[in-house]
Amino acid sequence: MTDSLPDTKVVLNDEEQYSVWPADRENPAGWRDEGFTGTKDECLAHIEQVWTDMRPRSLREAMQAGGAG
Amino acid sequence: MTTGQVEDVFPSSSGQERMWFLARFEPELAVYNIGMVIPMTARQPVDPRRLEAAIAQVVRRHEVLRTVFEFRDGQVMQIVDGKVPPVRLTETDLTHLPPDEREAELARLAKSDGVAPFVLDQAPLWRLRHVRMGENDLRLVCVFDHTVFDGVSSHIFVNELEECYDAIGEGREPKLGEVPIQFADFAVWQRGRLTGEFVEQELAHWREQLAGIPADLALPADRPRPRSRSFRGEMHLAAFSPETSAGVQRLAKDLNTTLFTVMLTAFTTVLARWSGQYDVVVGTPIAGRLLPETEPVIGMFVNAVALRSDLSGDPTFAEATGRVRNTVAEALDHQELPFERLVEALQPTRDLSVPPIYQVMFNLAVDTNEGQIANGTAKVDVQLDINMRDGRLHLRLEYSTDLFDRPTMERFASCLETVVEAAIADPNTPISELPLLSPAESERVLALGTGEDLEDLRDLRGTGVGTGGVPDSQVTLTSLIEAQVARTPDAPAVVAGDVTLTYAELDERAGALAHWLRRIGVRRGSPVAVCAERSAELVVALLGVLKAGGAYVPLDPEYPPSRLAFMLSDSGARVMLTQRHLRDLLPEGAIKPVLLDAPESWGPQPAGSPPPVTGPDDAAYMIYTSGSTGRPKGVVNTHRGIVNRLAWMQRRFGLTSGETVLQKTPTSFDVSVWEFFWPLVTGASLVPVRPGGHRDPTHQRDLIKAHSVSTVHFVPSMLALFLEETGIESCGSLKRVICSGEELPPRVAARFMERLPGVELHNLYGPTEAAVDVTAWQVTGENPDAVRELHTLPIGTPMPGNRLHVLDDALRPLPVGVPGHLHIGGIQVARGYAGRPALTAERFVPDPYGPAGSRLYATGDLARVRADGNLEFLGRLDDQVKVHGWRVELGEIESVIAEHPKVRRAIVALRDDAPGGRGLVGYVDWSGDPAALTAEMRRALAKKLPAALIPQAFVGIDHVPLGPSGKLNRGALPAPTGSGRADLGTPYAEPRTPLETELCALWGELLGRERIGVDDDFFQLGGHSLLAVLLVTRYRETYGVEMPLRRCFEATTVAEHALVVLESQFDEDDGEMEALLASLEDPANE
Repeated sequence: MTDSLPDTKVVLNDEEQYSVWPADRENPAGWRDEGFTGTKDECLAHIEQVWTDMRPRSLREAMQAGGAG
Repeated sequence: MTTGQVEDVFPSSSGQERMWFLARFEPELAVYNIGMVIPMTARQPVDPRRLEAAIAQVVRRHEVLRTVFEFRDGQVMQIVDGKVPPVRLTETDLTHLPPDEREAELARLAKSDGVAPFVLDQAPLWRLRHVRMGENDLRLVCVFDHTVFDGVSSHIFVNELEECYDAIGEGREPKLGEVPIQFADFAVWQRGRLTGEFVEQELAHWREQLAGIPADLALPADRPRPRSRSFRGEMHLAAFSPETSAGVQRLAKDLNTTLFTVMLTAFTTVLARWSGQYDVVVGTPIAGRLLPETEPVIGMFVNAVALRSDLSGDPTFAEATGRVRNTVAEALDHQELPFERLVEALQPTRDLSVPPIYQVMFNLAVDTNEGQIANGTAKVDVQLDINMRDGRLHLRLEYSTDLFDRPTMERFASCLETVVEAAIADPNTPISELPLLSPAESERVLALGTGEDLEDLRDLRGTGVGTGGVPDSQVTLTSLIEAQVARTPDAPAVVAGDVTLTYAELDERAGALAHWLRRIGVRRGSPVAVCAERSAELVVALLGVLKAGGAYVPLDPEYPPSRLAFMLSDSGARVMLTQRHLRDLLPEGAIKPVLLDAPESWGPQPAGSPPPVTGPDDAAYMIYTSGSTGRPKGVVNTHRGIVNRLAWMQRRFGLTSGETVLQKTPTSFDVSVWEFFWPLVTGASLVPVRPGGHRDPTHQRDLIKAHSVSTVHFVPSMLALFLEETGIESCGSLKRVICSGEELPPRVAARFMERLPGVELHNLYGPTEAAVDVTAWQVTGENPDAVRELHTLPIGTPMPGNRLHVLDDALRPLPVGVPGHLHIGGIQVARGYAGRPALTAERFVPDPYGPAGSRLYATGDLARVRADGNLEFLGRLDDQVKVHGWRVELGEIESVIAEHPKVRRAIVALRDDAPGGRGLVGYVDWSGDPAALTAEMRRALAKKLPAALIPQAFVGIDHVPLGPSGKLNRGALPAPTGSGRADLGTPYAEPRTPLETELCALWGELLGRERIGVDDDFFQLGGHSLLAVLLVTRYRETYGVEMPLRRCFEATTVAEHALVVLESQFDEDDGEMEALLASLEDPANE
């Protein structure tokens, strides 16, 4: 039932990890709106498209720099 | 009404009849006594003789106070004594006590009067005592039986008593109006009214109103329901603050309704939030004095109505209040139907464990509750009485001590106040968002779920295992092992059969493999598949992958090839490590196998290990888990997470060099991660059991003895088997057994204490998504029997660096004791599901309680926190099933079955192919006579479970189907046998009389079976409580006999039913009956 309501938003943290959150609630600290809102299923489908590298950002950057950790 | 005769006889009211039956049922308990202490404040000093005369006048006015009950001609009758017996008060003088002890003694006396039951055929059905508290302080303790009294009666009684007392003192007639009717007149009138069309209409209304109500609200309790209610109870008193009390009155006004409705809405909201059921039925007493003539009459007029409120769809509090208001209005329009008539009509399957129709009550007491005497009983699970006085809303919670402890009711009262406060602040808040906990309580419950501060792990540096969860640590699993290699190069690391690898040898081989893996393209973070049997080579492979910088992806050789092929392709692994004999298991293709048992094929490698490239946030391993639905998903866990988990284990148990850990868990199950690496970071050694040996208790026992193993892990299913193995008591080296992966049944833990005294047993919990385990609890108990008695064993408290929170749908913490969705936060939370962004985003959610940007893993498990901080696992959220209106936790039924001494293991499944239709089937590993399984199980369970929860069929199994990880495989349970006789285990016995022939046919029709024999058991044939009701109805229609439903559970064969039918038909004609019985006992006579 609630899944059919556009009441969800896509959020991400500083590590660029994605998740979903109720559209009308304030984000927990360290999370920001990605911009997409819709039903929960729509948000998850959106994430499936945009979250292409699931490594945390800091790890990704460290690996690109060639260092350890 | 004539008064000249010595006695008058009237039928009783239906309410009195119900009380009479209850008194018969629970003769020891005064559940329905009404007690009060009258202070007589304005009339001190009180003259006791004058008081007695005044009471006698009241008794003269109200016949019901001269009434007793007798069972005559199949009916409960009221017998009214025409004469007024002299009234003598019991006298008690407390003036010899120090003044400060008198009140306590008065309370004790009042309670002892209040708990003594009345015998309903012995007058009077009240007892009065005056207690001298001081020179000028005489109090009156009154206790009445509810059959002759109710709440309104107590006002009438007090008012008349005081008026008569004053009148006698002033030498005048009391100014009291004539009593227009007596209670018996009302009872007769009511009997006439409750017939024909009127009662049919009322019943029809209530049937519709209450269709499909939950069989049990099942408020989360401290203990499971006993088979039969004891009616014992206590009360908890509380009061709202003056501000909240005023606020709730204002709220009622703003919402254009009453205090009653607003408080009932709040109460219903808390009930719904606690129980998770949003279809809530609350009972409320109503005065039952619709006729004006009844107003000044003492008697039992009170009735109860059921208020069913639908709070589904998350209404705002204001909307919910509107719904409740409609419910109340409609109920009041249909308040005349006596509650007991409703029970008869709606729930003839009277289950003795659960109060019928509603399990909770709500009552607005018009006046003070102060003088009421608690008498140690509870009529329902919880009754809330509210009362506004002195500007404060007072609460009185009467609760069943079968179910609840006082702290739970204190929490309930506190939740109610918090909800009310939030509703006052904004009545347009959806009820799901009304907080149950104040901010301070919220903090407290979150703190209960928070593992120790990570800083505490710093001191692990000295113990060999590195800096655990310290966030800035650069420690990885690989670096910890390499440090250990440097410390104990010559110690045995792996002992597999006749192969022993020292730490140095293991390191050297793994280093060589790592070099090769780098050569063939493995880079930092690359997934590398490992498909190998337990062996020294397997350990080399895992360490080699880590040294190369990759994350290992275990593929269990026992898995079906199609599943392996899926995991291989899904993981994105481009390299696979395997053994020669396993190569054919895996698909030919792009992936090149590296043969672990042919190191010569790797080509020459430089010495040592390649330089490390990984840090703590790199992936260490990726293990596939299969949920109940969907394709398996690969969980990526980090070095930081698993290092934290190992650091906990080392601090907790202090494994030493020289100790040995059994490595028996398949690599595909994450328990194996600590089995491999805990010894390798502490200088201990690991001994792999042979391939397939994880299912072989004999092999395990031998290995433990041969290698002086100190630590073994078991899934509880496997532990149960191991504990029945002979000779395990000689496993003297064993220090500790670790359990996880399934619920640990108390019975298995108790058996453990018997078989392996002196060995520690630890119960761990954790999903693959949080680095193996996140909570731990050591089994403790005075003795095995005490443990066996426990309902459930906790999973313990969070390990350091982890937070476990029981949350509601809006991710808010739930009160202690209330079940909710278990979430895990902290350092061990996995990175996510490889290649599954949407699924990861759905299950790993923003953490409102952790550091900025952190995530919580939503486990899908149902759990609750105990007051002591230990968590209780209650099953999977999606495992709850509904059977015949009951919300059922299959695991709960399983543990009850497993309590039977002849049961080794039990599994309960909800199946569509159960005999008698969709229902529960019990699979029992049974050591008793196979033919007796069903009968013995039914007999044993009937004492412990509501009838609806007893499986419809029992199937004997000689082994529990286990999946490769050793966990139960429900899908592999056999179908219960169909409509033949093969499942019954009893021979067919032909009917001997026409009646038996008819009954056999009738049973066959109801149960969907052919060829029913007279010795067949109704329940064994698939009968259940609802079918029993149908059966009784058919007997009524066909034979005109009323077989009590309870008889159906006592007499269970066709032959026995035939007797019951005959008995009922022949009524009490003993001679004829005996002749008939004689002829039946020996059919050859006929």
